[in-house]
Order: sequence, then structure tokens, then C-alpha cells
Amino acid sequence: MPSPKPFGSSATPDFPHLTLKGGAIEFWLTGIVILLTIMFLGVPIAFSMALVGFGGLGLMIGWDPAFSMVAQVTLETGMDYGLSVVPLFILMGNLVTHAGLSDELYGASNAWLGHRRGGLAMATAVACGGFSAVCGSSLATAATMAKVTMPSMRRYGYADSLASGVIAAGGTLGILIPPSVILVLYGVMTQQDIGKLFAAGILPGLLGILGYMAAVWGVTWFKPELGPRATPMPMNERFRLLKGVWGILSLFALVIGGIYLGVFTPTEAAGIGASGALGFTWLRGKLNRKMLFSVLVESTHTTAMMFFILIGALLFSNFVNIAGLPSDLSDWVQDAGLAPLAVIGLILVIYLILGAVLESLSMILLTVPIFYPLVADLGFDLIWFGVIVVVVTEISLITPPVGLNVFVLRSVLPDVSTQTIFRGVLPFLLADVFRLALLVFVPWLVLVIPEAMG
Amino acid sequence: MSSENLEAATAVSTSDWLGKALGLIASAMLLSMMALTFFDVIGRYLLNAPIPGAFEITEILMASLIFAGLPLVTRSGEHVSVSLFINRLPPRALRIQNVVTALVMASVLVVMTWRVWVKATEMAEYGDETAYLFIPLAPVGYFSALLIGISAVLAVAQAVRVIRHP
Repeated sequence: MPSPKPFGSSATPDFPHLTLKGGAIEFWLTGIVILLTIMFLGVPIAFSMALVGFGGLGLMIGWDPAFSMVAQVTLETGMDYGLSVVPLFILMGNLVTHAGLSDELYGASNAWLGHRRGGLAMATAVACGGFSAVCGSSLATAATMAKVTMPSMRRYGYADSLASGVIAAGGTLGILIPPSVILVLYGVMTQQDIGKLFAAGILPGLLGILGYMAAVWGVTWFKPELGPRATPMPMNERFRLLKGVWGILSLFALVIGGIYLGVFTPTEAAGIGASGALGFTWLRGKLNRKMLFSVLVESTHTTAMMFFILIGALLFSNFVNIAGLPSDLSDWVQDAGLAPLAVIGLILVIYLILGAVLESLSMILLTVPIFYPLVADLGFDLIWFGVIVVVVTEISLITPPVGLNVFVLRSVLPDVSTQTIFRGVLPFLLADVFRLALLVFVPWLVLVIPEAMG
Repeated sequence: MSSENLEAATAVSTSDWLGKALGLIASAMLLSMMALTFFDVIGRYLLNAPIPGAFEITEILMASLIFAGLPLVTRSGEHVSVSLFINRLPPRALRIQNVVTALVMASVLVVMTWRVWVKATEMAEYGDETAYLFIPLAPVGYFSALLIGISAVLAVAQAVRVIRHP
């Protein structure tokens, strides 16, 4: 369903000085330096970007058009139909978190894997992947799965480092396996099809689960005492527990299958998914007025916070675009005679550095508008690039010093130290780096499913 | 620690009704968005009767939800920021940082309020409305401006609170 643009028709600001091109390098470079400075001085990221974006625009195109742009970007972003997926998927994820579906998921994967060496940790990786299939947030996935899996792993004598490491790493799959809020925002910014982006996340997500299982296998190969075997379950019990995951599976099939087959638009799928999640919460007797209200309020907080980062990022990217940053970048790349893959390598290094200090969503909203024109220029597929950006962001979620998933785990598991978690995460980081390289060199792995959509 | 508790307590007592009211509004918007989408899809596929102009209502609900959420996020200091270096500041410098940050936020919000308000009056003048249901858009603009304005006030209040409580 196309959305008409109600705003801007009456008072689109025109930009008389738009001819200002080239020689504006000092403009955007200064802008970026000021942005980073005030961000590190603790001004919230959304406000830093809005401030620098607005200031830069005012100096370049005049204050009147800059003022108009502030109003236009603010209102248009708030009313963008394409973005209405975001609050609905956030609501769905928060409802699923409270519905207790995570218990069954872990119960089932545990029944099949628990008796192996490190099996409970492998089961955790699988359950995190499963939970990611109905939740679009990495932090929520890590926090939810920690509550279910950590007590069980401790009971069987698993080392805290391995147990917390696999939860932190498994949780990162939340933003990759569809639905994914970050992929939606990427799609809106780069005008890519959300359905295709979601489809592209599936196989890399499965690879992620396999990679984490391999990491567990490797760690317990050297130190079996970190992850002892649990008693095997009889086959009929295993199948009984497997049936418990029908809730998650049907929700995933309905939402993602619906988008994939073109039955629903992403917004419709998100609305149906949130309603379905509400239904499950009710079926399980977990629904009451107090819980519903707190879930709704929590979801609106998250939504409002994200939208203001987006508004700030849009103002900032308008500024750097008018200052000619994308064309300057292309020129540099051409002058330097860099191979396209070398450029991707450089971009990934920048992400790893930024990811070590910036929160993931802000990092993506800030950088994607800068990089995607260049990446498209070099002939890369933007669906592929979206998945690559998300995978590198997953890595940043578990990298010190600002590995957000690690800090979420700290708040859920106050008795495990940050160092222990970071130590436990190391093998999984290796698996992630390997997966990232694989996806960069074999784009087919990302693109085969979305291309089948036609 | 105790000063933090005091701050939290005063914040709750002075603006809890505001928080509750905004929370209710935003929650109602979100729940309506969900219900609207659900019944639109059901209507379209099962009864061959989608809700007319559902997407226009969705857009308006979403704008209201986001702008009603902004004061809540601002009040509870949930805007994401980089705390890596701030955490290492001595208490005195940290207080100055808190005040300056709150004032920077307030000034950005004031500019936004003003310009969104101007935009809303323009929309009222031009009689801007949605394409299908002819819902006038100016009220959405005024509503947004008002809530951004409240957020600005809350940011200033934050600065004042830090200055007052040593």
C-alpha cells in the first residue's frame, strides 16, 4: 500500500545554495568531529546528531530552510507508514517475552542436545535462535533466555563463563533472524524491501546458531569440565517436549511466512504477530491489566527513543549529504584505486571500532546513510550489505568495552562478573568473525533465499 | 546514593500524574494500532471488506504514540548516550556535565517545538488533510508540538534539579 506524503506538499523548503559542491570537505569533516566530541561528552546520541545536523544545514543552506527541515523531518518521520512496523514488532517481542514461550523452547532443545558434551550450552544457542524468530531485539533475547537457561546450566555444573558467554552470543541473533527491528530501519533508510531483508537474515542466522554450537563443541573439547553431560531423555519424552514449540513456530510461520509469500505487508504481519503474541499470553493465563499496561508503556518508551535517534540521524545525514560526503567518499575510493572488497573491509573495520564504543542502533542509523551510496556505487547488493552490517553489529554487541548484551546479562545475573562474561564470549566472537568472513566472500549465502522470492 | 533517591522521589511526586496520563495515551495508541491492523487484515481476507483508510489512521496513531512517548523517555533519562568517559568524571564535573547536557537537550527540543508549531499553523492555513479520509493534519501537528514542548520543560526541570540538590 503506497503511502501518500501528507507533509511537505504545502511548504517544501527549497535549497537555493544546493550548488555548493566539492570544497565542502571541511564542512562535513568538522561536523563529524563535533558530533563525536559532544557524543563522548555525554549528550544523548539523538540530540547530538540533531544539533550538528541542524547547525551544519543552517550554515550551508541558510537558517530558514534548515528550520523548515527540522519540522518536516520530525513530523514526516513520526507519520511514516513504512515505519509503523517498528512499534508493532517491538510490542510483539515484549509480549512474547512475557508469554513464557522461552521455557518450552529451551525444554525442547535441551531434550535433544542436553546429553552431549556442552549440550546444555548448545541447546541454549538453539533456543536463542528460536526466540529470535519471534523477537526483533538482541537485548530482549539475551535477557529472556538468561532467566530460563542460566539456572539449568548452573544446576548441571556448567562454568559461568561458558554459560553466560553462549547466552550473550546467542542473544545477538535477535537482530538478525527475522523479525528484526534494525533490518526494518535499514530498509527504510536505503529503500530496500523489508520482506527481502528479512528473508536474507534467515540463513546467516542459522549459520550463527551452527557457529555457536561449534564454539561450544570446541571449548568443551579442550575443557570437558566446563560443560558436563546431562542424563539423556527417553525418545517419547523428547518428542513430547518438541511439540511444546508449536506456539513459537506457528507465530514465526504466520508472520515471516506471510511476508515471504506476499500475503501480508510487513506492517500487517507485525500487527498480526503482536495480536498473536497477545493471544498466547492470554492462553497461558499470563495476561492481566497490570502486565499489559506495563508491556505497552515499555514498548512506547522503546519506540519513542528509537524514533528520536532516527530523526536525529536523518537530520545529520541530510547535512552530510548536502555537504557532499557520499561523492567525496566515492572520489577518494576511485583516486586510491581500492578494490571494492577492500572498501568493504575498511567499512567493516570502521564498524568494529565504532561498535566498541557506540550503542548498536545509533551506530547503524548514523553510518548507514553515509556508507550505502558508496556501497551501491561499487556494485554491491544493498540487501546483502544490510545483513553484513547487522552481523558486524552483532559482534559489537559482545565486544568490550560497550558490549551491550554483556551488560544486559550483568543486570539479569548480578553475581557473574563482567570479566567472566567477556572471557566466556571469546570463542563465540571467533565463530562470529569466521561467519562474517564467510558471508562477505560468499554473498550467495545471504541472497539465495530472498532471490527465490522473485 | 541518598541524593539519587531523593531526586527520584521528587521526580515521581511532581510529575507522576503526567507520566501516568502520557503512558495511558501512548499505550492506547499502540493498542489501537495493533487492533486496527488486525481487523483490517481479517476484514480484507475473510470478509473482503478492509477498513477504509486504515493506513492513514495508523500514521496518525503512530505520530501520537511517538510524541506522547518523548516526555516519558526524556523524564526518565532513557535517551541513549555514550557514558564511557562520563563515568570517569569526578562528581563535581559530572554535575556540570549533567546540567549542560540537560540544557543542550532542552534547546534542541525548544527549536523543534517552535518549528513544529509553525508547521502546524501552516497546515491549518493550507487546510492540509489526509488523502482518503480527509482527516485534518494541523491538530496532529499542534499535539506533537505541545508534547515536544513538555519534553523541553522536563529537560530544564532536570537541569534545575541537579543544580538544587548538591
